[in-house]
Amino acid sequence: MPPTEENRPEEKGTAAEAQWHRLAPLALATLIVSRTVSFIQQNLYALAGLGAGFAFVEALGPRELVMVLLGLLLLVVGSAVIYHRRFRFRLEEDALLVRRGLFEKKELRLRFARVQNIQIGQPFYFRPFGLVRFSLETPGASEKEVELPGIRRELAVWMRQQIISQTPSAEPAENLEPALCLSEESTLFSASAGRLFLHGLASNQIWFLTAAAAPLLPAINNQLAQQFEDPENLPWQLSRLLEFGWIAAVLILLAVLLSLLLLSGVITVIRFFGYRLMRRGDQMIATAGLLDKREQTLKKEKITGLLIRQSALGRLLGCWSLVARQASSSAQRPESRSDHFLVPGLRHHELTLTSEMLDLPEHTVELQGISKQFQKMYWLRLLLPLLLGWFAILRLPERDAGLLIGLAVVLPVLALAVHLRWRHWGWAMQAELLWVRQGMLGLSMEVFPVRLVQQVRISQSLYQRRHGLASVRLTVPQGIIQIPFLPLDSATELANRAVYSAESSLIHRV
Amino acid sequence: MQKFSNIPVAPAQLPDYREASVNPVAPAFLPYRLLTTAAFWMFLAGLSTLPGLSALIGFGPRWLTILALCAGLWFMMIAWLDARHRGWALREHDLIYRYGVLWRTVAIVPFARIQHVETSNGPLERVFGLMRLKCFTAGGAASDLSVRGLDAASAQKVRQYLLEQIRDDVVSNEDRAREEPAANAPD
Repeated sequence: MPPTEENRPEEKGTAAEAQWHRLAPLALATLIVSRTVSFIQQNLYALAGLGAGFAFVEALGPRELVMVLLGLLLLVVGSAVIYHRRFRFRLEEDALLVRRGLFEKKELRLRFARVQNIQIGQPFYFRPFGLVRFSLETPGASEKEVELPGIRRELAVWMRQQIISQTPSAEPAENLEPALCLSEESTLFSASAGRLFLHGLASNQIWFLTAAAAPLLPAINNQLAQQFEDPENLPWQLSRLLEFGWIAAVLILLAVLLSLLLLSGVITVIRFFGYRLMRRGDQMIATAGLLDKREQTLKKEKITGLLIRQSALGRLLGCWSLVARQASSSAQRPESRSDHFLVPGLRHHELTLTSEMLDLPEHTVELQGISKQFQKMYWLRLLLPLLLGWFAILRLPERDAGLLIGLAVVLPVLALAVHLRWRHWGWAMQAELLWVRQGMLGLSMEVFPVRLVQQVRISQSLYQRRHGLASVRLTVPQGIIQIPFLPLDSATELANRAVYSAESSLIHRV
Repeated sequence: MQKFSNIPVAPAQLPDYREASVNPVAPAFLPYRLLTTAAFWMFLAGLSTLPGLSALIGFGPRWLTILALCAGLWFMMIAWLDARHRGWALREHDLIYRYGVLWRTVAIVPFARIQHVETSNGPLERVFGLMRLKCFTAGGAASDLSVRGLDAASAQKVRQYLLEQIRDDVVSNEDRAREEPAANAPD
């Protein structure tokens, strides 16, 4: 194999079959940028405090501050350079070895059998150089995810093929596409820009955007206040609008909301542009992205369950999404991670592709609800005291009108929320699969083979004991599934069945 | 792919976790729990006599102490019920653990999901001859089970038994994998 600038013989000096690789030189640039950004993010408060501290000390001025900042920047750049230089990885017969670390070199060994999904991403700035970001995900408490921030595309594709198909082949020379296996590839679903836009509208991204924009609000408020102080500064439309008082406020709020929705839609279109879901043999492959082209590959056997979701807005727009669940031992909910396998913008009839991902005999199933006592308990324990409190306040000689009106609005809303939550909680066990649906305005349905259960907990509160009810909590590889307020018989049957299924299955130690 | 089998099993034929005969915790668990609860609330009651604290909260010092003592009595009663109710059971294929007083909970962990077992005890538990058994599963902290209140001898025996079960599982799984090369391999 011709040695190129990116191949390095093993340190021992013997020419080994598998060779250590390093990151591409350009990856250093992205590493510096990403480390700077994360450094700033993590230490934002410290940096702000530093700035404020310097402002108070008289003799020191902006020059010292700049010097400190430059020093920090140098630190970050230096660490990135060291990290980049020391990063090594190598593909063995059944595992990927990665050596990385700033001070102590940590060696990670990721066995192919443990790999859950592989993501190859090409941001637009990598494209002219033929580089990609390669990342692997495995379950496990230590080091779940490994990312190679910049390697040759051919190498990445070859590595992916080795890991997934486990058929050894020769490593490709530079600039040659490796010979791909010739199994058929069928497109299961592709999302048009319109569907992606709808998905963006329906998704919860809008709240993250609002939260991200929240720190800017005080600044915007100050700007607006300065402008409004002098009426001549205002455009005539705005001053006419403001004459209407609260109508103006509502309209402005709606305008802001609408623009956030539009922004969310556009961001989703860019992020998932050209989304295509394919199946190649036992692999599920998803490709998407405009500025950052991503290919996600996962083995069907590594799918531990499915999440079929429709947010509140999604119900209005007829927009569903599907998430392929995988083993995760992090406390963080898988949905919030950016690399989960998400199929966006589905219509109801397109949900049949769930059977491609999981062995489902049917696509929908009749669900049983949970006991009405759930609703009753929350109404009695939570709302009744609040209602009594409301009446008590009414009787007071000096009463706070704002509080009365506030409670009068909040109480029915809470009651409705509890009712909706009760109504939507449903479950069904069918052919060794457990379906659990829950939600208030939006709905989410989890379905998974019950043999994957790792632990079952049946608990009864004092209230539940009195009414012959119980709550079931199942721990599965993708997280925790709970069904509250089941009749005791149903709960015990569900628990017994889950345990029986887990114990009689062939797959152990999952 | 493994052979797909879907023979329905009637609920009455399923093994029922409620029928398992539960071993209660060691007798020493009761005094241990009573002691720790009493010590905690006595400490709080002692704190409440500090002059500064009562001024902070606004109650008179005597009220705080009484409150602490009442709470202590209440929690000691709970601890007594807890020691009576807590227990564990070993079946052919799983471990059952029952705990909780106000929220009565039964946890079941199949041996097939246990990756590792450890025993441990804190200093006070050592004085009473108690041990904890911790079962580690693939799911991380969410599905790990910690069984408290075992006496040292039982804890070691159960741990040994569980380790053997896990080993047997791995061995039989390997045998099965050899016989049916198409079956899913374990991790």
